Amino acid sequence: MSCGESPTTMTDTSDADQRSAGIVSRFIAAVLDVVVVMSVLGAGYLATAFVLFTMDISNFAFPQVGWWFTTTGFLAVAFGYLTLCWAASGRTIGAVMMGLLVVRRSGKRLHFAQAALRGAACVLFPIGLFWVAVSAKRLSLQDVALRTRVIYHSE
Amino acid sequence: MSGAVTRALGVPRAVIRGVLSEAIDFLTEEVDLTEVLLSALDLDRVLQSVDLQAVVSRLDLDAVVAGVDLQRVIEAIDLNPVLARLDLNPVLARLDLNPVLEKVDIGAMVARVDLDKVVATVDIDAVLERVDLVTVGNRVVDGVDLSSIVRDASATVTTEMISDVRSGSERADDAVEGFVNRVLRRKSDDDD
Repeated sequence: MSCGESPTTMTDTSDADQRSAGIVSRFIAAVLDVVVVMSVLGAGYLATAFVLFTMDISNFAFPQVGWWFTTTGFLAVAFGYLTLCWAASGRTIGAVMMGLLVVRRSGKRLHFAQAALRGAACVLFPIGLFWVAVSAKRLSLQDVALRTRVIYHSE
Repeated sequence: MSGAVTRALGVPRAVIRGVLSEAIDFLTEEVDLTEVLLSALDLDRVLQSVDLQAVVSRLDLDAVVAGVDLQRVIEAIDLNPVLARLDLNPVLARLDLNPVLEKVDIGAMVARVDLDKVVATVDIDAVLERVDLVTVGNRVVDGVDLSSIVRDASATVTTEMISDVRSGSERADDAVEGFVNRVLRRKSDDDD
């Protein structure tokens, strides 16, 4: 999810002519998305604790969560978050804040499978985002592999 | 002969003249003829028979007036009791002030007024003490849609802030790209 770009959908071929976003904008969007995913995890933890509290008040204790579970949960939530956002609108919350949009090279919205593959690639290999700084076309490794791009889209 | 007659006749004449003279002296000295005349005369009849109009027409009133010191007369009159008894309301009620006011240059009059001096004499504290500021404030707040203003202002600030962040990051993107291109000795239109 560190890919931080947001996908867009409803876009059309006119987006193909728009400028690709650079590393700074995409990195900030990725950080914002990380914050969103961590907030979702935190909310889930608190919701679980509340349910446990209501079930057994006298013996209540905050649940202990191992690092493996936390890491796996983080990756799973991030994958679901990115996939759903890119497939639905092409934009994550971070992308909306930074005015970014993820599209195919043709400028059209991503297919669901394409969004899912891109989500998995960003979650498992987030460092691929930094290829944007080196790429002359401002493409991350995920963009190169899946033929997508992230453009400035303020609307 | 005739001389003797003349002298003979002159004797009673002299006697009568002397008696009359004594009588007149007596009347003028011992009797108040004015009172006698006033009691004997009917002045109304006398005045009715007099043509006063002719008398007045023969008078030189200009000369009379010229001899009067009007300034002294005016100074001697106390106008205060006269004015106190004067009811000006009916006069003012019949007075049409609109034509007068139309001729008055209110702007010029106001321009000549030293408002700073006037305001300096006003006791603002006393005025404020008589004002229920809480009620006034509540009316103002009730009349202003504060929630709408705050909502619009917040939306405007948020929009401007986001716009600034986006434009700033876009410039940073270009700066980073320019730096990388210089490091890699690459033209900006090169492909991957």
